[in-house]
Amino acid sequence: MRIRVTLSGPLREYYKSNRSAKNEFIEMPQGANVSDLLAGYGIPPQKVHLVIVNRRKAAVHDLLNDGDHLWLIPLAAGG
Amino acid sequence: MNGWMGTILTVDLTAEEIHKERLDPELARMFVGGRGMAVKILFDRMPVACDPLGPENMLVFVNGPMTMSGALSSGRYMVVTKSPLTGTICSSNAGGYFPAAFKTAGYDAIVICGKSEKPVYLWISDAHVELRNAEDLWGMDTRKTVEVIARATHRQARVACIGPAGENQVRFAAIINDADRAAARSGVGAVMGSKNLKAIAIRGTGGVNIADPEEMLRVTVIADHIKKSDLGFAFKEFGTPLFADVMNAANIMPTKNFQEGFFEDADVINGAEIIDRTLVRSKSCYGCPLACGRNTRLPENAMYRGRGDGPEYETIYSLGSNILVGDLDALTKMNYICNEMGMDTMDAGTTLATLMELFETGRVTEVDIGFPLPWGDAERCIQLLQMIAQGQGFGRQAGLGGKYLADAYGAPEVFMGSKGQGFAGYHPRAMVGQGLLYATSPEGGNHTTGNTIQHEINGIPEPMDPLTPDGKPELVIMRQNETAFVEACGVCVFPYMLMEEGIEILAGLYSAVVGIHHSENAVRKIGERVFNLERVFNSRLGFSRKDDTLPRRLTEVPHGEGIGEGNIVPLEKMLDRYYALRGWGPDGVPAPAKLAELGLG
Amino acid sequence: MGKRIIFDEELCTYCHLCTMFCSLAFGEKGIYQIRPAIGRIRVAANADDSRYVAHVCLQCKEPACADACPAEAIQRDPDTGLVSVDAEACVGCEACVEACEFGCIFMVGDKAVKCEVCDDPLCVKACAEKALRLGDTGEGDALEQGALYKEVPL
Repeated sequence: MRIRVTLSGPLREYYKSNRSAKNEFIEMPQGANVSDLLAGYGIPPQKVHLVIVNRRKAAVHDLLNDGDHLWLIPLAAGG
Repeated sequence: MNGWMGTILTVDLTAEEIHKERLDPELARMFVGGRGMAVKILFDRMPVACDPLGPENMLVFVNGPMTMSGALSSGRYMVVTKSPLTGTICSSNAGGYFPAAFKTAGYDAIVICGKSEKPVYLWISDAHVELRNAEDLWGMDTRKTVEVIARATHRQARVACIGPAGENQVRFAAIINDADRAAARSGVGAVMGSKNLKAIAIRGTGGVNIADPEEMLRVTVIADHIKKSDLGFAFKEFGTPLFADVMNAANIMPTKNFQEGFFEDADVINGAEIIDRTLVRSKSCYGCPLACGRNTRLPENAMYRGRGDGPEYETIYSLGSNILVGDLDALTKMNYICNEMGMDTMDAGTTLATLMELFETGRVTEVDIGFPLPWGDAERCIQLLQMIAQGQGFGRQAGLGGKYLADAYGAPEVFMGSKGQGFAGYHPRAMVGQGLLYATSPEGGNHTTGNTIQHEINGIPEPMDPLTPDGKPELVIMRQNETAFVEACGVCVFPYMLMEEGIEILAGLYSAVVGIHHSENAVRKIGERVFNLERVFNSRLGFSRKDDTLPRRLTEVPHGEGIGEGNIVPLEKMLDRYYALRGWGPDGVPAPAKLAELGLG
Repeated sequence: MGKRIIFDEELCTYCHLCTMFCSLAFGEKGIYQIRPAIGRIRVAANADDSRYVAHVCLQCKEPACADACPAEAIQRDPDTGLVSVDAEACVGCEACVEACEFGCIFMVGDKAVKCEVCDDPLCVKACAEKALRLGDTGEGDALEQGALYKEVPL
């Protein structure tokens, strides 16, 4: 399956292509879920505050589908 | 005295008189300092019905007992006055380095009254206070003003001043300190301009007494702990622009005048892009370990020139997503213009957004403005911001703000704000607690009086659904009370309002500075007192439930695709419960019993 | 071997916490104050705000301040390398301040003060970025640190 991945803020350190990427595409096997993808990137789950799949809130055990856009968000702070 | 400096300075610009008074310990005990003390001073000394731009309005510069105490992030000050934008009491908060000079010069507050016949600036060097002619400075931008005044006074002088926007009484004019920091909202700069006061320059060599220094040394341990955390790392690395990603993902990033909550081009105006393109280095306010400041410069290959601080998240929303500008260089340039001219980036943005929508729908034309103003046209925005600051052409009208324009051009529902002040960068349809906050803030669309982000977005201490009204009245009340206390202390909200146990830590540090034990609940009570006094001030002016509003776009139009699709803000329901819990009548006016309980009887 | 405070420019964020906490150690007897004006370490920014440098005494091998002092109030300890001011002997003439090309000695009232390297320096504890550390006088490049001070003066 082809998944588009966006890593925000400090999480962009984990991009496989380059840390200035806006997103990248990776291949995942059928039946993979968000948690598998995190493991593939080596991202500790506790660093991820929000998991968004196709603009909707998702959970780490949710299955991924071909063409999905997965967006991982760390903690927030602002003013 | 521990914490406080013990002196209030009053400057009567009409009579050209300077007066020092001893700080009343009862005032300090009940209202602490900062926003609390200043609101009480205004309430007691000024006719609340005065013209905000007239000589009877008072402009109070104030710090707090914890300013420069060594507590976490202890370098803030506030400007408190009656707002010419909203007609309510208002307070505006800023950091940088001016607060350090202000406090160590020996003053808890500076009360500016009256109006000077000619432009002047105030020069304070510890006990020495004098008014100086500022005719040569009138018209100067805020960065140049600091340079010129420092040369004329002292190398170490720190300066808070207005730019052309304040001089021209733009209703969202700001007071800029240290060239890049802003007491921005509610038009405090216009009040300063209406008094012909160009700047306050201060040099201070005094010290802040602390009751329990052992406890204050613990602060370095707490700071260490924060720096090692994910949030601490993110603050320094990305600053507040980190929010752009979070808000956008959560469908909360206001886009196209709050029509949407998601901006396609957010990834070219976010924190990562700033690091890659414009960041010089991270920068801290005086006394703060977080280093969230963005010291930036436009690169060689950019269309524009300039350097300064920012943009912060709020500017990324107001001069970016909300006007469909997906260009970091243009956004940064607009940010610098606002700082140099002395304007609030947030209401500069909501004014532009209002105009773009009025233009799109034909309510305002090219003939009115002088040129077309389509969505996302950064060049025209830059041009218009300059015109607003200088009060030229259509800029005169635009400088009166978005609500004025929407009303004047027959589409009042287009202005995205409350009580005349534009909203902050959180779309309430997907963050309903924040919607209740906007509606009940003393000065309208302000978010800093009780930002619900820690709970509704970060889920600290535990996850809370941003889409439902459940528990939101309770949450907003708590956040408003807590923030009022933080702002009475003269410290920054970030460590205390965004991190777990922040208020507990603050209560402990406050106790250690002033030498009197205060529990968490005791400090929340003080905050509640301040918030209620602001409400009384406003209700004397006729403000009530009818003014605690949100536009129909937020309460009736369903949210678009993404998280919270179909959601609206159930404001009326939340307001009923909010008023009841606050001990206010159903019309939103504090009941006598509540005021008596808080010692405001 | 003597000690000095070593500063890493790369990490400084201009927060002034070093100055604030240094001052806590030097208040009048019985008074605990944050008073940056008496701090022995002070931070400067350059004209275009792109560099931040904390000025703290380098404990020079040939201290110009000691040389300039007409009251012989400033001495360098030959064993530890520490340069210190005898407050009793200091007459407040400010010759040392004039002489120091690094801007690391200051007047507080009518006495000269400078960093004399506390056993457990509060500036090091307070610096949240770890830009300061306690090191040996021979360690790091004092000349390089001195050059920074001249490039970004107070």
